[in-house]
Amino acid sequence: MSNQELSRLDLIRIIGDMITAIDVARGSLPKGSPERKELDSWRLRLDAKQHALADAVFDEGTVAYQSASADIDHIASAMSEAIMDVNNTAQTFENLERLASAIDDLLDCAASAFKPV
Amino acid sequence: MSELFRLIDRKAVFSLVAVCVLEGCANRAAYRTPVTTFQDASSVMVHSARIYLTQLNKIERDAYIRRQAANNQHIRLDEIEKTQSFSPEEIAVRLEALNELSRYGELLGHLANSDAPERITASASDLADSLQRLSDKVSQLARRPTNSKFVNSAGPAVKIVGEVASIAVEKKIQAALDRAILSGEGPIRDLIHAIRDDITIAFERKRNALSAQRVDYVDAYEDTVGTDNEANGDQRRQRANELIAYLDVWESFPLSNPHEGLNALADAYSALVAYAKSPKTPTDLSGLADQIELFAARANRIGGVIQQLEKNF
Repeated sequence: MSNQELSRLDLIRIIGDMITAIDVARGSLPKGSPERKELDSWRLRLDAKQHALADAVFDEGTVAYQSASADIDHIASAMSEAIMDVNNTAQTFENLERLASAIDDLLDCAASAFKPV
Repeated sequence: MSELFRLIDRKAVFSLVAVCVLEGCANRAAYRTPVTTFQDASSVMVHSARIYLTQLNKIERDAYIRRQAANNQHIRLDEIEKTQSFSPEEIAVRLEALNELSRYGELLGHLANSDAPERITASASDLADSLQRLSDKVSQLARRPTNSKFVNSAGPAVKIVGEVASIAVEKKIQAALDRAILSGEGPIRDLIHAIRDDITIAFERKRNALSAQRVDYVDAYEDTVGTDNEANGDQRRQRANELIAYLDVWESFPLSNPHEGLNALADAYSALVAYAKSPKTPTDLSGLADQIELFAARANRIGGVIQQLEKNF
């Protein structure tokens, strides 16, 4: 998929894919483990960001939108398989930090958006 | 001799009128089967879309409540309010627009099928009235940017459908049918796409919520593992069965995505337009029928899965 083709709906779906992958990892770890708790927290954050994206309005033709959406796609593609590997959570948390930051950049260029915490 | 010419002239005029009338009837008859199929499949698709739009807020509300329960947290109504994507009015107007799309499909069906102008007049007049009310409600949504795509696409579609209804009220059946199909393509496509986008978001949010519940079911099962007595064994088996049933729902959920069905609805609409613009040969009709059947197959498949999901979960 080329960058120009990434609509807001594509990004909502991409983030949804990340969330469902996080759920696979969460469902493979003991409830009380530190890794599980951190993944639970990341899931909450990504869920809030996906919700904010669903409510946001963008001009999808702007350079800022295209750059931020390309970053999200790039990071998500790179981490899609590794995210379910519960033996490599350190790398996953690092990638999630980058993904969250890229989504925040995207929300910053929205014409109208509710910013999640 | 002049009497003979008058007779020939009258015969020619009669033949011309007969050809025009028959051609009009033939044109309407040619539309009949595909428009009826289009109308039926549209109803299925609108019903499926209605389920998603109605669930839009419920999905967010339920996800919040489940999250709080899973994390042993308090539940607050003001927090629930914050989770809602659309106000009840915003959902109601979208549902009304879907309803009008469905009624518009019915009007197309009447135009193509019916030889009873009174029936068409009543149906068109009723549609024109409700479109006026819808138009007023749509304009009230314009204040919120999130509604901009829907508002911008609903306006022109409402206008075109209103014009078609007005022509139909005057009993100009073929003219109304041609106007409906030729003028309505762009605006109707845009409206279908705007509603499709709202529903795609609802689908993605629902996928998100259902995915979270997978973990809840696994956790519930895991809570029963470890202590091996009879009561615990029964509970463990029960939770295993609940997990099995839930994962079946999860597995079939992607098939319920209305996105493809609404795209097929827009494509079917374009096929109607292409047919109306064509010389209307048997090949043209066959092409139209194929496209409409494709749409009907998708609509029925999606509608079936959604109904099954509603029944089982």
